[in-house]
Amino acid sequence: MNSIMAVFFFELKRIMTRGRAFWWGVVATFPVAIMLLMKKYVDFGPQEAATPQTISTVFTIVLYFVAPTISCMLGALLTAAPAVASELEQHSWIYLAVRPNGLFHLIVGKYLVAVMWTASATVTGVIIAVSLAAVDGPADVTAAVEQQQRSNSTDAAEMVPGIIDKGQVTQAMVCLSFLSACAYSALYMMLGTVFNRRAMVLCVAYTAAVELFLGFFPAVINRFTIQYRLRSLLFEWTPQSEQFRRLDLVDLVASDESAFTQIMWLMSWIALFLAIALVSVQVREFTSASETDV
Amino acid sequence: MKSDYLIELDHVTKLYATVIGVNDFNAQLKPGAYGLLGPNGAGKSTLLNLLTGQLVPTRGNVRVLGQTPRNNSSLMRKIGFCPGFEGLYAATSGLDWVTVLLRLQGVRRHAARERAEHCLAMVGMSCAMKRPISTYSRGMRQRTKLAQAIAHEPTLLILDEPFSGLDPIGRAEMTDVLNDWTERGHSLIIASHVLHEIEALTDSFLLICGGRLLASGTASEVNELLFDSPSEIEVDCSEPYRLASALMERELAVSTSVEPTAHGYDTVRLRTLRAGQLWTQLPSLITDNGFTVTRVRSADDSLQTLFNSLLKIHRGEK
Repeated sequence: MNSIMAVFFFELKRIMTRGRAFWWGVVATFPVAIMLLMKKYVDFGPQEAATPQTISTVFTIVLYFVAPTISCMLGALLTAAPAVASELEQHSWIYLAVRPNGLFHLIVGKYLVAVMWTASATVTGVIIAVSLAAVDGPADVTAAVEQQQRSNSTDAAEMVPGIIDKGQVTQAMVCLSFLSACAYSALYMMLGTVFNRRAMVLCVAYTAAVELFLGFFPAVINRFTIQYRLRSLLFEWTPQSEQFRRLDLVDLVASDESAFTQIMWLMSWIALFLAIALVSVQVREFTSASETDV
Repeated sequence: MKSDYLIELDHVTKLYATVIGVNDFNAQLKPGAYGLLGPNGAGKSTLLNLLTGQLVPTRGNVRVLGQTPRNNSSLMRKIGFCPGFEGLYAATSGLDWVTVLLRLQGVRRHAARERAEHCLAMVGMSCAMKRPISTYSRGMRQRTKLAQAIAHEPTLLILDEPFSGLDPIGRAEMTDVLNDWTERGHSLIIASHVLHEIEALTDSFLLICGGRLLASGTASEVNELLFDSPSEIEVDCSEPYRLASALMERELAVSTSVEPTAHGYDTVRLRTLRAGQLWTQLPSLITDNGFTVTRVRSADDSLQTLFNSLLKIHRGEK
């Protein structure tokens, strides 16, 4: 544990640079900017669909997509994916490889840093986005209820819970962001270790093909993605997404199993990804010597 | 497993696809200091990577301190390694870097910090240890690398080209540190392609070329081996054609040529198969014939030629 913490704090200190701070800011600002733009420019209109519940559902779904999904993917991509490749490229790998269990400590330590960096940026973004961009406050609630009444709803009061409950949404999104950061960091750590020569490119390609395409594909294959589990947790933890949940198609892209089951699935994925990364560094021969330097 | 040997290499071969890094290497070394000498591309780095467990031999067995080095954490506590390339974190200070590497050896935070400071001071980095490594000169980086290798007091210190890039003062300081290290009873393996760098540290050599162990022993043993090996010699002489003729008559040279020089006497370039005999007889040949000789030198004193000669001996060629 002493060694893992040593790598963790050392790496944490190393990433405290202006460049990294800029990217941390980008990751944190992304959900805030999207939600503010949505609040300002998306016109829900007077049509029937523009109920308070619809607004809160859309807000919740979009926030999920930009924060625990895109921001976390981006954060993990920047920190976890190049973890091994960067050590090999700058030839610093060997100093760690000749320490007792040095590569194990390196992988776990860097993984923890990636989780911390990604989760802190995304959680910050979520908190600010919910504070600034959510439909809330007495005026908003009143307006929303009035709007609901105008649209001949049978029971306006029933719709009120559909208004964003900041505490609940924040809590759900923070948990999802943390789980997402843990899962994507482990995934990218594994890909970056196994395919260290084109780590970033491969991680982006994998994310697009598997997590963003297959993850939304209405077939059994989507159950093997992180997105499937996170999405299922979103529907479990946010009543705001209930309206969306009732769509027939959603049954195919999310599970109705308990939150505990989903978390266990995610933990299993994380353990598997890290195990593959750790086995890979133990089994493979990484040498920093240049090719001519035999 | 307890072993009297520092290193045991049993028919070790390492292939990189079709390229041979190390070729059927056999050696058994008792604890002590050894110089691993060979030209660039000889297989020194591959051998060191095999010793530190970074590579797995394609054939054969490697044992260091009686243990197989691959993924052996208990052995890694006893080995200090200083690679030939830099690989340092530019923005980190030397002190932080050595400290974290010590902590990876299981040393507690405060103890690691104190030990790192001590080792950096030992290699002459007292003033600069808290500065970012990016501000270090090449020599300072080499010294920092040495500090991380010796900080955990390993039984065996393995150094790959530690003098590379050092100025003469830096070399002398590094030599002092390493001599002090070996005098304290620790073992050392130092790889280099420069003979005199190693001579200052040890009298035991392993000569390696083309991935093969060509010769081993002390400097005098190696010199003896090379004494009668084929070589090329240049002699600047007042009567070059007569000298060439005399050499051929006495069968001291198998071929000669005279090359004019812009200043001074012309040069006789000769090839001999019996260098030892030539060196013995050349002075009398010069005085008997009344030649004036202004310069005699080996035309092929590069290490690569020396190794080519050894390689030919190794293959049984003349």
